Amino acid sequence: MFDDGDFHVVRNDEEQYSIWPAGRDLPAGWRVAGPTGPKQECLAYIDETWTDLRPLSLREPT
Amino acid sequence: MPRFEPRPANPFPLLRDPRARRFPLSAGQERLWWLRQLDSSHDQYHITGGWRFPAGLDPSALGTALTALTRRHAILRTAFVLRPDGTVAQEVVDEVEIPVDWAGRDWRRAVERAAAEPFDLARPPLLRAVAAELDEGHGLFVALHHIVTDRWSMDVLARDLVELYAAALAKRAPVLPELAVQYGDYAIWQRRLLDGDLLQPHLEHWRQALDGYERLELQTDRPRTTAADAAGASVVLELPEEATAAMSALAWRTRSSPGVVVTAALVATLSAFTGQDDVTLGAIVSDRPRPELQDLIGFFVNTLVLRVRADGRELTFRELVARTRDAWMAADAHQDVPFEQIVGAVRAAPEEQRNPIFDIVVNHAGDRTALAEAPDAPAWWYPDLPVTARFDLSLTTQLADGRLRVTFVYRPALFDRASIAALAERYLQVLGQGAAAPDRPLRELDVAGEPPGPAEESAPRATVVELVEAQAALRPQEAAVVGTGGELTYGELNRRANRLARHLTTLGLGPGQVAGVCLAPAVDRFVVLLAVLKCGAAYFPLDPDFPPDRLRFLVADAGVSLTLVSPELRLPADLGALVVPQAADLAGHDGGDPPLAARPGDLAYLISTSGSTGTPKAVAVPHRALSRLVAGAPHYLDVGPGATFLQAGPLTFDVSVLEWTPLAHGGRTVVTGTGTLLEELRPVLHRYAVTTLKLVSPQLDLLVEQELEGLFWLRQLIVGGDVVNPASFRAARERLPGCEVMASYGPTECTVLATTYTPDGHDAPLDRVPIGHPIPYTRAYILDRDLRPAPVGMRGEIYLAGDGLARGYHRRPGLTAQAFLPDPYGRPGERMYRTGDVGRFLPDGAIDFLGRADRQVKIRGYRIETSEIEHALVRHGASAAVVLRAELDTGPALVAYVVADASVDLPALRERVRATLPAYMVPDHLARIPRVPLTVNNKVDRTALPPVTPSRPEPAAPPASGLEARVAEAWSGVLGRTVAAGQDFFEQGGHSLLVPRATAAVRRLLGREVPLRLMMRHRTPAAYATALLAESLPELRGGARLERRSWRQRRVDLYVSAGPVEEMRVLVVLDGSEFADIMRLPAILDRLVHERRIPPVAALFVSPESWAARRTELLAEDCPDLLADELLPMLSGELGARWRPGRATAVGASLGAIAAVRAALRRPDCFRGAVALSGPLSEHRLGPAISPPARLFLSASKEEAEIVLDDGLTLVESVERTGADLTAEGHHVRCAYGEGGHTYAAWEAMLPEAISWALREDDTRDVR
Repeated sequence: MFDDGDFHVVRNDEEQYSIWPAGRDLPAGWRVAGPTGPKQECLAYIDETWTDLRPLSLREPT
Repeated sequence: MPRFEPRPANPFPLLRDPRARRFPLSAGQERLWWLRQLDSSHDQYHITGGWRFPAGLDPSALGTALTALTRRHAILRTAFVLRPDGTVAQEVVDEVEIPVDWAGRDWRRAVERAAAEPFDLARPPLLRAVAAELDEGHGLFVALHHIVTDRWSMDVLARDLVELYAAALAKRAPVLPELAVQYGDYAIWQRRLLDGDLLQPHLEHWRQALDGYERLELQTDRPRTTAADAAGASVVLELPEEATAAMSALAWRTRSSPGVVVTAALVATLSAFTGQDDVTLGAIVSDRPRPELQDLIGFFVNTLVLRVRADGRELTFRELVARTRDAWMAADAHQDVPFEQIVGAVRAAPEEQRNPIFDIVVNHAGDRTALAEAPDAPAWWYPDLPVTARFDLSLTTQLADGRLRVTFVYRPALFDRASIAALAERYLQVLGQGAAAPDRPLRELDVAGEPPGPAEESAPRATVVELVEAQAALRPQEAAVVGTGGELTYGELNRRANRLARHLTTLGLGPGQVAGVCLAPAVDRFVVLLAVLKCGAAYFPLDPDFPPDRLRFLVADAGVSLTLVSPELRLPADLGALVVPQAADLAGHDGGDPPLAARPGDLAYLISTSGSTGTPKAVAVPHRALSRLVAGAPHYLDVGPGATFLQAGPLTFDVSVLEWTPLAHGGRTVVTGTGTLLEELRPVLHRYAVTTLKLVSPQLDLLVEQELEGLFWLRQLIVGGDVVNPASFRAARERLPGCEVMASYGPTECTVLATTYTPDGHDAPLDRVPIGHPIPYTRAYILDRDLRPAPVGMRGEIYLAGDGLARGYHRRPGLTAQAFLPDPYGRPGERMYRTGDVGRFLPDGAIDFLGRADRQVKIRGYRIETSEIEHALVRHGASAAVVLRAELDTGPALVAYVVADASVDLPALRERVRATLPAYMVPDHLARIPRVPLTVNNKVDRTALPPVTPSRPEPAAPPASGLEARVAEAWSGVLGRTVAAGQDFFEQGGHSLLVPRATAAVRRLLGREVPLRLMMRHRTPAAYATALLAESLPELRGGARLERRSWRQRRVDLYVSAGPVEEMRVLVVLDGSEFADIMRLPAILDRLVHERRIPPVAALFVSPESWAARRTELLAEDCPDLLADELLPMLSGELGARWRPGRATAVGASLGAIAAVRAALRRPDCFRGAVALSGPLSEHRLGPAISPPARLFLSASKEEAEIVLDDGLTLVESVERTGADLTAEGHHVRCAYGEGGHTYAAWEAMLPEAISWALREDDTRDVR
């Protein structure tokens, strides 16, 4: 079911983005953080939004 | 709810014909008869039954009852006979005696024998009985062939037999219902329906219903073989009472039936296990469409094809039940079409040992009939018997005491018990939960396998920089890197890397940055890599052989801040690469460890991989992931102090990352070139005494071609990187006894390795090498389409999680988000990587790799994993192979690209593969390529393969030999349409029930037994003809052989018998290959000479240049002269002393007979006579009006009176007339008339007499 239907854009505490099938329970540690819709739409959103792939903990100065 | 036309009634009257003795077979019987012909050694189609007689059995009363039973049911007195025309009939005899084995107390063996021993279907009764002495009274056991009975019939048989026995005992008349008709009457009635046009619309229904259906491929645990194996085993479970009640209630509410509901649950289970939405099953149903048939014993079973779509993300069980019900009702309405005709209509070519269309059946039996109620009355008795499996897997459900009993019968030759048990468990869950909550989407049912275990501890955080520095402090003088350029100790490596790192820092390289590296395979490369890491930057390997534009793209795309290149390598000048400074130039920098710059989350390296879109993408791997690889390595890799590690790939391939593992643990790493074809590998292994070798699987294939012996130091060999070739893996294990051989698996996205597999002595009999268990700090999941864990045996996608995960694809957020998903089974916020690989868990927890999700192709209804075919090609002689599905002008085809040395003949390779793979997996085309094109990541570059040009002869090509032509003609006659020599019988609309008729035609042609199953393996006339010849090589006495020559591009075979040269006679045989190979004339001559019926002979068998040219050649005016002036002198010159000059006798059949007679009449100087078989003699001018007397044997077959020639005479009249004319001209003529028609068989039968007469010296006039 990971190839069709609608997806959520989701994000974890490290501000890493991913997608998750709409209507399914989100795994712990992930929150909806963007549009819900067809996969390509979600991925396009992520391409625009997630400009720094470093985990959050790495972006903060040590 | 769609409406269905009900099943139309058979419009013909069902009538009893008391005088008839011979009947056709019913469609179902025909199928059983056919299955029996395919495999006569044993029979899984036996039906057994047993009853307990508490009061004991009286032998005489039992005998009377059994005799009465056979009188009552004609089917028990029926023989199944193959008639000469290839049709099968059932013939009723008047009396049969049922054999009863009074086995006493020791009855077990007798019962087993009775159940297993094959029946001869031509010899009734197909019923045998065993009387057993039990603790109380007797048991009576009967075994019947399915062709005369079915489950329902066994209830009828029980009732009748019990009553007949009771009547015999009481000496009274039995009370049983009158039988209005017998089974044969039913068969005729069914035939009348089948033979008309009434079924056409139904056939059309099946064509549409099964259009584009996908064969369900349940993963087997062992490869299929073509060996017959009916052994079965069963897994039995029970649905609890409450769930059974819910199931029945759902059946009622959905206006279906329990049979439909249990089938729907099977569809859901199989769809989950196979990952296929399009599920096609068989359903076994009892079919007695008229009340007159209720009390008959006989085969009234029908097999329905059920195709159910299980697609849709929100699909509920109720909806699936409805779909199953609709499929069932449609199948029921169109069930009068015999299964074989459905098979033919959808062009589902049959496979040996595999049922057409489906492998899995469902069978919902109702309740078993209770026998009489009296205390002493017989009761059912079920002695334990071995289970037989008629299908790969069958589900039988039965209601008993309010609970549903679920029995899965499977073939242990294909499946492990654990796999079927897991499937059965899942089935019960689906059925139970689906019935309880029919409106929940199926994907929400709680049916998952074991959830993955809890997330393991995190890997140690120390980076590889810290670990190497610690080793440098611990063992500064020990070798760290050896190879091209000498040796670097840990101390030197660390010092030089420190100096270079300080230098690079001054150039601005620091954390978060990427350094491109283009480095020669020499020890210095680790100075550079370590220095880059010490700066806190990531290294990004670049291949100097990449095209300049690709290099520019990679460098720009990765945002490389600095590129380092070895002095001996070149990069495009505009990249501004910095040549790696020499050690001497850096002497001014401090050699001590700089402060740690890299944090675990910082990137350590990038590796470029090609994407499916063709644009390369770089996998970005952080130190944390590299630390996880390095920290866990000693658990499974031999890389500590004293170990010497080598991997034979380029730096651009992520396997090179493994070179860090010895450096982190005090071992040695070898860095040197090993040659593109590993030609330098052996010297390298010896020179550096390599203990631990990592190869990618194509490299292993190359290695095992070399000599492995003498690799004394090798302690561990790890193979991975692609599907491991099991033959190479086995060869390495056998030939490297002191070496641990291990398989590994791991995508770049999971930092080189994810799982490893070490065989533990008893290998699973898989045709694959499993990829094994996860390495430390790594989790591997196999998830179904709904991301739920798959139980053991179920195929699913492989997901990886843990510390080894890459950060993602460098600067590709969307791609990263798509491949790295939230991990529902890990710690909160963790991700898992979707590999796109398919696998399943084996019972021991190891993962069985089943291929790439995107490498499965569907062709002709089958889903095929192309790597399986590639393996088979490699096992049979190819060094490498790539198989693709291609759309050719002729339709979809499997194309195999093969790398093989010149000694490997591709058609022969294809034939060898054909012997091990099912026919649908045999590549249609084989193309030779010099080497497999690889992408930069050593993966096969499928886009770079050349387009195919079909290598097989065009299907419509003319036949290459007379035998091909005649087989094609015979098959065309049976099919009612032309089959060309290269065309597949089954693809031209043939089905297995036509095989007996097609084979009978060939039998008539050849006059000898030809096994029916030959057609299953050789489906084109061309292949069939070849196989026929291979089966009938002539056997000659005393080692005599045919000598092969050639003359004018024609094949000439020479046979010289034993015997003195001075008595030798010469025969010139036209259409030589047919006489030699098919009619076996050399063997006939051999025998005749041996029996002294003819003098010793030398026979020349001249074949036409091609079948197409034959007619022209034989009828050419100069044919006799060519034979006389060229062929005979050539051979007399060649044979020398073995040749006795003298006149020859020409032999020919059909058109060859014309040429033979012409040779004798026109060239009497060289030919003394002729044998002319079935020649259309009167149609042709044979010779000059006057010639010296010749000795002429002319023959025809009586059946050839039906062949009318162009001159209006029949072939028989033509021979008669010509014989008379030639006699009148003074020739010595003998005319003979045999039997068998215009066939090889008829000619072969005529040859001894013909040759004996023709070679006789005595020219006294022979009487016709």
